[in-house]
Amino acid sequence: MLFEAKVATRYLVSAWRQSALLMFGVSVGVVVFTFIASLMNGLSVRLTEDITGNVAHVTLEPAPRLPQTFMASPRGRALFAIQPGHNVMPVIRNYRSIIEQAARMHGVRAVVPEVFGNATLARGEQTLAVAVTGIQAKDADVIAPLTRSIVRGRLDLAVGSIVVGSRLAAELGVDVGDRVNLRAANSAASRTRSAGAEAVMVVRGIFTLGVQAIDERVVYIDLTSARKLFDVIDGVSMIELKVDDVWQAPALAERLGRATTLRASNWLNRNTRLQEGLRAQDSTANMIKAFSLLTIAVGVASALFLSVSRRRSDIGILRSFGIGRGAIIRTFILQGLLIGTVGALVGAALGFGFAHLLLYASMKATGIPSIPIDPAQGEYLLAVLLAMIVSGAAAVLPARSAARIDPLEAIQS
Amino acid sequence: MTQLTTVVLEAKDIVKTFGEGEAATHVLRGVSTEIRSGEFVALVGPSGSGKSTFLSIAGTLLTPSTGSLAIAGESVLGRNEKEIAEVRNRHLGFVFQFHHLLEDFTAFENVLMPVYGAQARVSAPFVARARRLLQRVGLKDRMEFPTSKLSGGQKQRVAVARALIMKPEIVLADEPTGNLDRKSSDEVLHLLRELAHDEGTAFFVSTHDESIAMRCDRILTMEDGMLSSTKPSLS
Ligand SMILES: Nc1ncnc2c1ncn2[C@@H]1O[C@H](COP(=O)(O)OP(=O)(O)O)[C@@H](O)[C@H]1O
Ligand SMILES: [Mg+2]
Repeated sequence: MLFEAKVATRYLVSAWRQSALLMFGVSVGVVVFTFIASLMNGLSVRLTEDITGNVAHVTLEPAPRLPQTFMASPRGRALFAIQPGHNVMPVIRNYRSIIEQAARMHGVRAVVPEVFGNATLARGEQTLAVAVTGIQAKDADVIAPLTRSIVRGRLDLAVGSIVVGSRLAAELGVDVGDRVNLRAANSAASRTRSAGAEAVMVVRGIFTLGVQAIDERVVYIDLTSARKLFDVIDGVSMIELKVDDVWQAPALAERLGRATTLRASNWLNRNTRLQEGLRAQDSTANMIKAFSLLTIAVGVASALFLSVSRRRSDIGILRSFGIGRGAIIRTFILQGLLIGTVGALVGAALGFGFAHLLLYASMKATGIPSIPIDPAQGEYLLAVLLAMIVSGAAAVLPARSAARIDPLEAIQS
Repeated sequence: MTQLTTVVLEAKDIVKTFGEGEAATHVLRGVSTEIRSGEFVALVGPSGSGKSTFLSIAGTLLTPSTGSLAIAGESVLGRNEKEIAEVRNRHLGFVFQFHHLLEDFTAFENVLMPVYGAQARVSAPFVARARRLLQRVGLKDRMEFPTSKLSGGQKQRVAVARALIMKPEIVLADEPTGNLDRKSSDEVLHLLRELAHDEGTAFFVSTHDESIAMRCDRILTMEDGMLSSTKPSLS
């Protein structure tokens, strides 16, 4: 390889302007590659975090009890004993053992038992339908960052306290300290008009999570109060989990579902749009990356074709005194590799710097950048490797054309 | 001239026809010759008579239509490309009308280029030989010069040193002075003649130049694709 290295480097050095320009071209391709990678990866992380930060990753609920068939008629019709949706609130009774089981699973960060039900919230004449989440005070921040989202009052989940979303509060016209009337809808308790079906609560906190569906509909109360409200003597209505790696949620949900016979769903089931969006974003990014590599290939190949035609006489004379075709091929492929390597390394460094620059330039006063670029996710190693491979591969055609030069023709012309 | 015993190049009934049928050009019509070690042979003849074609075939850069060729006692026809490249590297040297130096390398580096056909790393004896040859062709002070800064005559002398680096049995030179002025041309010819003597290398030199013919051991005259006459010169 000494001959090849000597000739390749000499050719690059003696035409240093073209070489520098070509290497710059390669590095621009790599900058585009790494920039797209850090932008798209940063964006998908932010999109994913925005969603997964506020919701449960895995949710365990009692399997919907299918109505029992009362009798099968000869014509194949069935008569339902109970109309679907009007049965008693389904409850997980053995929730303690399930929580224990789930908490032991690898990758599970937190397990939160909840009593969940529909209710109406009334203040004066005004009544609104709400979704009540009964939760232990210690779990209040686990599923969604409630404390951080409190805009008025505080996150107080003592008995008799209620924390509501800001849109709901505005619609109902309530503020911290106001009394509201909470009435369970559609539960066994409300039908039997038992004592727990209605409660007067004091608004202690108002939150803005930034998710409209939550901010305008969800209220939080203490788990015990919720049990009373919905007449759940023992048990919970759902168990929610946070996991370490949100992309492992589907697998974990499946395992839990099989292990418990509960209906296990994961956050992705409720966010198919996000999945589609991320996939589309991914393929767009890959296309841009592919084009940047293609540009590198075209640049390297055309520059080397030019170099080969300029060195025809050199190649002819080298072949005349017995330098083999293989050595000629290796010499030109090595040129491609050298251009690719230097260009790629410079490009990776530039791309890294560029991503940081953009990150800081777009940083707002809040410390959150307006462009969700993540310089750490520029896929630099991949970009460098691919640029090197592409440059080497792009050199193959010119190198082979160099090796095909007939020495006699090159010498006599 | 006591050891003119080994035949270093033997061509027998070389025929070369370019093209086919109506368009066929019969350039060589049965050329035979032998060149012995250390011999200095001139190849003369009118332009277009086939001198370059014959030298190319003798140098294995061109395949004859029919005929046989042996270099350093080994038949080369029918060998594969790699073997032929090895024959060229070990036994043959070339000087062309144009110097064909690699402009991106120094004179010294150019002289060493053929060595890479035989070894991956240039060994010390070759480095020493390259120095000696450059000194011998009068370029002692120009060894590390970029080739582009040398004059035409100097470049051709570097090419001569390069042709000799591998100690070939024979150097084939196709009008080596065709591009040079009278003075440089004389210098180069004088040099070739001396080197043939000192190195014991045979030279086969095609030329229009009468003065070469005067200084050689033998003259071969090409006419109409035939080596029609062989006459010794009066040197
Ligand atoms: N590749 C080729 N194809 C066709 N004809 C050729 C080719 N090479 C040489 N010739 C012809 O062969 C003849 C001899 O050429 P050449 O050997 O160069 O003569 P010289 O060197 O004696 O001037 C010329 O007529 C030339 O046109
Ligand atoms: Mg000629």
